[in-house]
Amino acid sequence: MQSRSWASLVIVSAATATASSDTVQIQSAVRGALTAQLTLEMPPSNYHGGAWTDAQRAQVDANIDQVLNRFYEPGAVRDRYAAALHRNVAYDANGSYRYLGGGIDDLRFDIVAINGDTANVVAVGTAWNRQGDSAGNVTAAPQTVNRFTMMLHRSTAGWRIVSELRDYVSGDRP
Amino acid sequence: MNDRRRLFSWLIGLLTPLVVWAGLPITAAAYDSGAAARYADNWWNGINWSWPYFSNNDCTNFISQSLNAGGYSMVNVGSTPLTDDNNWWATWSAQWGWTNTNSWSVAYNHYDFELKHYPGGWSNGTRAGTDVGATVNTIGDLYFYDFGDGYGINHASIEVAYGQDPNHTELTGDLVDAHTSSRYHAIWSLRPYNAWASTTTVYLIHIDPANH
Repeated sequence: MQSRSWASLVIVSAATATASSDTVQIQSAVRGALTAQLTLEMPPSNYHGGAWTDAQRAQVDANIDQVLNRFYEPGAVRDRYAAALHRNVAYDANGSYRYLGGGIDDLRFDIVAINGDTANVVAVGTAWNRQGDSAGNVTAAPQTVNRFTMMLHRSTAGWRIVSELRDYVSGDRP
Repeated sequence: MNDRRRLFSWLIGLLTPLVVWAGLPITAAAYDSGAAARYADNWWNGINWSWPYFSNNDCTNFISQSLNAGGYSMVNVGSTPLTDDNNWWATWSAQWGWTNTNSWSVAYNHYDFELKHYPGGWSNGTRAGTDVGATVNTIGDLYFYDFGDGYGINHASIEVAYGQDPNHTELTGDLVDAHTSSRYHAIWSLRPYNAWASTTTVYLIHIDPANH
């Protein structure tokens, strides 16, 4: 009886550890994806003003695709973010405007529900960006609180997002 | 419900030629973009209770009112279904209150209406959410926004002037008024107000002046 109890305890612990590991990976993927959306537009570290060079633009464009591929499965969701970011970079490259940075703060996971290789997530966080002139002076700093509803799928490359909706909770709404 | 709307449409069809015969003006000669812009400037921060109001989601209703104030007549009033983007109208009755098409109050549906309707509107392309440069749109034209939130186009504004954004004086360009967040003479892309400018796409629609 005692050995069966210990075996049960080991099995439950292993299952719990696996679920916890998945939860951590899912949360990391969600946080990474949202951060990517808000930071991938930034000019490269060797940018110091003026119009971007072709190499700088190519570097940022390549990074957009590489990073989005890490967090999103191939498909419409990934493509819509890629298209918007590339379009923005094309505009920013004229040097009249500088995207200074962005991020997601106070990200809270209200739901992380795992069912086999599928996970449903509801999270709330504060999104922000810093916008600047060509000299890098901050000209705008909007922020908003959003609710994110996502579905992720476990693949050989890890947990990646397959669907995503964003709703306003409070804060700046354009 | 449908029988009542058919009766209403029939009455409109019967009465319209009588009104015209009587010499009463029922439509403007053409779309007056200046009048549309003046309406938007008058009501950017208020609710005109002569029209329906959609709390927390009034952007398209606001631009529809502005267009109508500029002489852009409703299309196929009373016709159904309300989801048909070939139609654009809002009517009030004592029995039913306000009834309107999706194209009157939902951003994507109005965008679709402008492209479907003749003369309607035509596309002036898409621009980046961080773009603030001059556009080919002019006063009385429309902007539609996809913030990349998974809902597609879900916001709209109307161009009212060209000049300096009063809240961001470093920005000069095509300026818009809007509802939901009340905006007065904001730079057209709404970039300084948008935490998600990085994932935003703006769709530009020019309103044909032949609309009346």
